Amino acid sequence: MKIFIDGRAIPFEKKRTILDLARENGIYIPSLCDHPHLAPFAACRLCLVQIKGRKGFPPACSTFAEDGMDIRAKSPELGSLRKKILGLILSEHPSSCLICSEKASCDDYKATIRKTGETTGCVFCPENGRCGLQEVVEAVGIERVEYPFLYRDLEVRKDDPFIERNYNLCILCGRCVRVCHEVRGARAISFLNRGPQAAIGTAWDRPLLQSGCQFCGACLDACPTGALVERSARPAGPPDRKATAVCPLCSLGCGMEVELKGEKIVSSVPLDQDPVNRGQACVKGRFVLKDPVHNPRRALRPAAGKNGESVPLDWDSALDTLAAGLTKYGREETAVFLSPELPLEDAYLIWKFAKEGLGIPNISAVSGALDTYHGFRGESKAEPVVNFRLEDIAGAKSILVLEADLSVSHPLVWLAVVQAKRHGAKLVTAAAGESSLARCSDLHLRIKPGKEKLLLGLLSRAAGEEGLPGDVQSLEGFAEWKRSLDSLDPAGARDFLGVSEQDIKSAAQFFQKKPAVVLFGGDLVSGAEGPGNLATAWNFARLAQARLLPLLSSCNERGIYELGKYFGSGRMDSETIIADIEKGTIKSVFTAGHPPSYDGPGPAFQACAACFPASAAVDLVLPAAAFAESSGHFINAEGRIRGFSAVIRPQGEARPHWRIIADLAKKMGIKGFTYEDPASLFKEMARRLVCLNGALKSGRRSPEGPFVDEEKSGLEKFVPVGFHFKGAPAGPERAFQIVFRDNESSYGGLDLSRDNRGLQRIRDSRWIRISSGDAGRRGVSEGDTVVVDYGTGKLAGPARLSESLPAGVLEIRRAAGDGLPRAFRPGNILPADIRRTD
Amino acid sequence: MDKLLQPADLEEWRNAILAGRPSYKKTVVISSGTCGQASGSVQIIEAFREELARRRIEDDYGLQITGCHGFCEMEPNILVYPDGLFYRNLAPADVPRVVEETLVKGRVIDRLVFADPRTGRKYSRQTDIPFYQKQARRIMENNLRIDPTRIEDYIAADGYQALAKVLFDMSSSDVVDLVRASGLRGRGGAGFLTGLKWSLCRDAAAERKFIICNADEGDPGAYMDRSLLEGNPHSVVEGMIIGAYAIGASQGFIYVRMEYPLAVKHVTAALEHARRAGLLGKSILGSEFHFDLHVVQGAGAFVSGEETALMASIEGRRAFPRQRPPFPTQDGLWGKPTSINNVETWANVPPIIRNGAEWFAKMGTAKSKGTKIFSLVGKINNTGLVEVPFGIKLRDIIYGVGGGIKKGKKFKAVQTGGPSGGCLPKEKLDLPVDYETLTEAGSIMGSGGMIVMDEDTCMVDVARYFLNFTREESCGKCVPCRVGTRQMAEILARITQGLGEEGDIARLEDLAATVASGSLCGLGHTAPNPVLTTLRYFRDEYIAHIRDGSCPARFCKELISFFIEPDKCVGCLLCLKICPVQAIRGERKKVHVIDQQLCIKCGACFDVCPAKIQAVSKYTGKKREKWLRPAPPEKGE
Repeated sequence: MKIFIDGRAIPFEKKRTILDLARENGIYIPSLCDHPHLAPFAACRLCLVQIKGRKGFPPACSTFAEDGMDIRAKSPELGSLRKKILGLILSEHPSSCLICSEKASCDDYKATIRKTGETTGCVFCPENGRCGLQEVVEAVGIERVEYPFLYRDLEVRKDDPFIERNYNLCILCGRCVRVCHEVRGARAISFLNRGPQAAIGTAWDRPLLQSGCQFCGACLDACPTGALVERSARPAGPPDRKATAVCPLCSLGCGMEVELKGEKIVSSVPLDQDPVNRGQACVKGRFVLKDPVHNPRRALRPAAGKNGESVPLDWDSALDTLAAGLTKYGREETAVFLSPELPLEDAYLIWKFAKEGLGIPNISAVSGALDTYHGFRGESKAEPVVNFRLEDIAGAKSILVLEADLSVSHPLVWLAVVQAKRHGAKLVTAAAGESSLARCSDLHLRIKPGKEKLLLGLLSRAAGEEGLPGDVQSLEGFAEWKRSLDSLDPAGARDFLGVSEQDIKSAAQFFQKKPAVVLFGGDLVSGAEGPGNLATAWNFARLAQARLLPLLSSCNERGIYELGKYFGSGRMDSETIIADIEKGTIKSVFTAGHPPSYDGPGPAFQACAACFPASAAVDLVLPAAAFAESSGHFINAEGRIRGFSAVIRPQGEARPHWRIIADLAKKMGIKGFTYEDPASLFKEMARRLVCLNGALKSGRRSPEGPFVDEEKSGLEKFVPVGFHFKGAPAGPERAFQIVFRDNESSYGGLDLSRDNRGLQRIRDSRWIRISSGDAGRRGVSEGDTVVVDYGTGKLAGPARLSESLPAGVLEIRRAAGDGLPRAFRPGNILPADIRRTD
Repeated sequence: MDKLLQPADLEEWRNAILAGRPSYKKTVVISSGTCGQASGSVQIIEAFREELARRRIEDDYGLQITGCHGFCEMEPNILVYPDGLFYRNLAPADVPRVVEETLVKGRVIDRLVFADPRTGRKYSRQTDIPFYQKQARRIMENNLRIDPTRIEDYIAADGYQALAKVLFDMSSSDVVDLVRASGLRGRGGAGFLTGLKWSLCRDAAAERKFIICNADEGDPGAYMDRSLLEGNPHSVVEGMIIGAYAIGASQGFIYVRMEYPLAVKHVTAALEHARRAGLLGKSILGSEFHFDLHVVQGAGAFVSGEETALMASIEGRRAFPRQRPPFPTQDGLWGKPTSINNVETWANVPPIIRNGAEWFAKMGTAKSKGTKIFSLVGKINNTGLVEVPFGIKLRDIIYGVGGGIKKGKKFKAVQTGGPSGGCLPKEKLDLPVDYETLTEAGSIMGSGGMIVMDEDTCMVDVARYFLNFTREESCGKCVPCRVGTRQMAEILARITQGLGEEGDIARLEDLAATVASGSLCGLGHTAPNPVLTTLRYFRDEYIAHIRDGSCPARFCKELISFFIEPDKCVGCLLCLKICPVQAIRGERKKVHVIDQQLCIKCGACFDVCPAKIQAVSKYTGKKREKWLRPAPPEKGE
């Protein structure tokens, strides 16, 4: 099939708009409201064309090509009509600069005036030079606006974190609203009013903070004008250069374009063509990415210290100290921890060095979830960590999300869930904690804390009652699993679980729709209940014929998991290593990244190589390069291998981890650790690690990027799970239970939700969440300082009221270095009481 | 009443209803639509009930409460059968006399009889009144007989017979063919052939289809859809079920604006009654056809009447129109093929089925068949809803049915088609009304609004009024409509304020062309029509405003002044007393003078000055300037 645009034949195959085809073939048709990720809107009327045999001027953006269509995209008539329509747009948008005859020579004067409070012309506007309207004015060629200026004189909204909204510059193309609805599923903003009062805004014109806004910044990126701008980037003006990077702030690893002024990152924008995020990001990637790099708390030079005192060292003596500390005690008495945020190359080298160079048997990632996955794999001979694509989730017909607030912890997965919902998928969420996911769910199971395993058991039982296909019943271990399930009492569910039998039945019915996926975050599999939860989830997924997709938390957690599988003899369980440290049997500890916390005095020697100085107990801190300062690879939650290069030099004297280890090995005289750069390291690693070599051969050139070779084992069997219910935990009776959540907004031990003032207003990790009902009964209002008494100690923080939290539950987010006992961690539930301080 | 399980049950039910009707000596029919209730019909009904009860004759005389009969000017009015007497503008106090004289004694009360305001001739029988006599009331006539809250009345008036015929004697294509042959065109405005729309929708492949009744009547001064839904909801419902059968739709929606509470109430009740009778829902009349209807209330945006915006609204989204094609017949409600028709169109369907395509096509012109209901308002003697055949001359509507211009003034223009329509001058009075002729004349049929204007109406101000309306009601989505109407309204406002500039007319024409050709939906495409037609037929008035600062109709406040003619003023103090801002100075028997600085031009003095004196004059242009010029100081002062 083909169409003709201005006489030129353009072939096409599937359903495409005229505008898309024109663009792909280098034919310019002006447009402002069209956006590649959004459905056609046809509001700006600049892409009007003429089609032979059709009356009027159909818009190219929403007219689909038909075979033989004869289109005129350029004619005197169209030119004049577009000029007039553009003139109308400009009669509501400050246009003096746009049509100024001196604009070419104005450059010299506009260096600082964009710091002005209100934009009244292009030279005052941070979008100057990259504005969609400027581009269209240039292309359409307008010298004069024939109509009087109708300035709307709306108040510039500056009361929100990160985002400034000046709707006097808005041309009502609706791209922000559409991206917020169609792509983000947040629906925080909408069109308001009609006629001349038509505007974009929130319900009742509240601040974005109260509107359900996720502060993902998609609206800013969609806005063709300067109506929506990033506050912190406003004074900086256009960047000197741009570079691509992979965001390390969650396990998806979005492709980002960082904008730089010299060696300083000023802004970060999601990459449009990236196979993972496709032009989307979240509040962390979009607004906070630069914070862990350019941060006054950064460790900039090596330092020795104890008890709060820090003595600067040069690199040479620092490495001497480290070498001495690592060899002072026996190998069994020495441990090495790795942060799951380390690039693959760095982690590989550290593991190799510790295991093969020093012969240390105690090497582990700082991740309770990885402990559980390794344990499950070892015990059940089944692989719980599998590859997937976000498209698999977007294409699912039924989705169960366990203990994860995806919009915060895995925003890109959340977007896939939004797409699935748009196509009619059923969403069931189960969480004892607060979840903004809940309001979009078809069914929200507000289970009591720690009852996930029981829920999964009852769901399995209900799924069994819906009828099971024969191939499920013939799987290994089915009979045993069925016996376990038969011991459960569904009628007792309501009291014990907090969810009615009917709800469980409905949830099981939703799962008749295939494809089905079960998603869960790290909190479900951390802690003492982790292994049982994982096994039950595994069995439920077999039974419901659903894909069980574990969502890893840190940017390279999957990579570290694969390394663990490769190196994994020895002890890899962080819990037991930490227990040995607390007992004093392990005396020397080196951590690459931020060290875990211990109850008690900690080891005799403790060193870390990190971006941020750890707690006072550390004897030696080596400054490590942060995100953007080193090159390497991550393996994201999907199993996709994500490569990145350094875009700036390390701050201060910081060095990448691989160099620190290479230098250390040299100093200690251990051979085989000389590398020029991460690339040579990667080559070696790709040779050694089975999971990398196949993938790199086949997948490197695909636009999707390479995936690790996954191991599919045990998918055809149920694993043994027993249900033993204890009564209420022993100990003093208290009115509340605390559930702990991992802090999703941290990097290198820096708690971004405290460090960044904007993020703090959106999600402060100090918030103590309490249900609105409990708050009312206890006389607690939003923002009151409350004290949580957990028996052995007390904890104070600002109260945050939640509609989705069940009664009797408090939710606290853990942050690195917050000094709380180790019992305060995801997976553990503590009895507590709460009161308001006066 | 049990569910009707076969067509014979319907006939049986109808016979039972007719047989069970009490035989009254006389029956009083009370028009009680929204306009009737606003004029006091509820009190009249109450008064009749009390009076009949007081005399204990309620078993001899019946009361029939109906919807609107159409003659708004005469509300509240009643009919007395079997004589067919028509009493107008009743007050509750009149009721005991009506009962005594007319019901009991059989006499006509002369005072309550309709008198032609022009000739003074009296008409006691409703059918003799020219307003009714000159209409062709095919759709509206049942409003005289039917209590809209009682399905039995509709059944008795051959209701649902057409449905029974369709379900058991016709295939869906027979129905589409019949409607196509009748030449029925959409009464909502654009005049698309209903049968063609149905066949497109019928032929579209989909597992679900919908039909919609567009009752989001938003044109200022138009209310025919409201009257139909209020007065005869089952006729619309029956039409929709037939349409659903023809198309293969399983669900339908009646989208009615919430400003029509009585229509919402009556149509909701009608659906419930129909459902109970087995006329909606599963296995209608025992057939294998399943269909149900739901009422959706609109929140009052004018643009919701645009079909794609209306569907967005039903889907729970903001009422934004979207680009067509695809048309709703392909990609409609929730993406499914949808036939969306206007209230009046649906109401036309049952009579077409009952009487045949030929019967329907007998009335009308070559391309526009049947009748059309207009709401005849403005400076017209017989304000009301009128149903006339297509092809009738404007003159016959305005002077024949409408009884001419109020207060004997001169006709100036008639605005048809609401804010999207145009103003036609007296030269067009002999225009036979149909879709094509109106479009050729620069106006549109629209949904049937007809606003009559007299010599005192300023045509620039009329254009300003309508542009103001479309500007405020533009949904704000597309640029030409949102900003273009705003710019046009600003220019028009300036002109009416005497601030017009040379070039404004060209600017208006230019903007009109941009808005009409660039806009997304019908609202924008037609929004410039009031300006374009007034420019076409009344250009002189624009020029007078701009060049001479004069408003020929002496309407635009900024361009007129009120003066007291010294040689006519008798010094009666009337105007002085009525002036709300004490702008008039004077003493008894001395000439009064208006202080132009204080005058707010409300016109109270002009109206109060007795007709035989007419000392207060309203001047514009040069004459006004001459009067405003300070008089040379009198000698001796």
